Amino acid sequence: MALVALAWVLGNPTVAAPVIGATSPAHLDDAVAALAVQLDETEIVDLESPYAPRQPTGF
Amino acid sequence: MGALSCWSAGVALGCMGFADPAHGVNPWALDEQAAAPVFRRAVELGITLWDTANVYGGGTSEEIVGRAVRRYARREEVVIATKVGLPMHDGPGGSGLSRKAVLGQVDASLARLGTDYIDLYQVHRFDPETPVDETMEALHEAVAAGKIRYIGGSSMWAWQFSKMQHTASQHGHARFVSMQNQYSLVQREDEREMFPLLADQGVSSLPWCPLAKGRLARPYGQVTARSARDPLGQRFFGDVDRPIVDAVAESRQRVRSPWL
Repeated sequence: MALVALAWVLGNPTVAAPVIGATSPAHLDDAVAALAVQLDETEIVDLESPYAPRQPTGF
Repeated sequence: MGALSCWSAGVALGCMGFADPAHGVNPWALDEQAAAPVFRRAVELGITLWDTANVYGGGTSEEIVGRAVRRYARREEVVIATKVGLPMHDGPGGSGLSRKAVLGQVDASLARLGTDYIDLYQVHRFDPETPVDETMEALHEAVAAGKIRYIGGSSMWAWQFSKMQHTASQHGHARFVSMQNQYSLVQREDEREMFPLLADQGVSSLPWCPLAKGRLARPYGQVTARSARDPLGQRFFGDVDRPIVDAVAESRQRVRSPWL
């Protein structure tokens, strides 16, 4: 699942590198694999459509 | 885009969780021995941007990162990113972005990291108590002294980031090259103002919590050794949207991994 969720983040052209809090080497393998994934338009719509505006957190 | 694009493999290693678990806010943190295989894999994969903060693990994360750089990499091949601003100790200079805090904390971070320069020094949130020109001048002074190569920001309102950047420009001081903001399928509010601002200014984003502390990396409700004892994760993502997590799971069934 990380593959898809990270591929979506990487689709934003202003993103240089998501910060991965890996707790195992395999987490980094998954993250690097996401760099080669190009989500098509229907996948992006499916991933984005459940989102509703919310309060920003973590300030 | 910007100075960062040529630095990293497109992924940064987040080192908040490499720390003495007895210090700081993450009881699930990996100690130095447990973190070693992750650092080695990062080097093998060309993941060279290693992000920590003075506050992580009460300074122990920076110590572990510094030793990992010396053990597993060459200093010039790693981009060490750390931060200043969150509370390190009581009293003057222990938190915030005053001149005293910035110039004192940068030396403390250099000592813990065991290096004579930090590649990317990020302000860890906005400090409403300190005039912006004081912060930008102090950061610039640390750049001019060779202690810092680049500066960056982290989560704040777009107007605050814009004010800091504009103030630096007015005085000919170093400008931010990066913004470490929260961005994932469950937190997209920075698409309104922050991302357009970054694009306009040629500043790169280094998103934190791109997987919502793992909640977008596994089926909804599944608990891990980390998530079971992660108060920050509970605070930010305790009520994470099931429909979004389910959409990621369903999409993963259709999207092929490039390695398989």
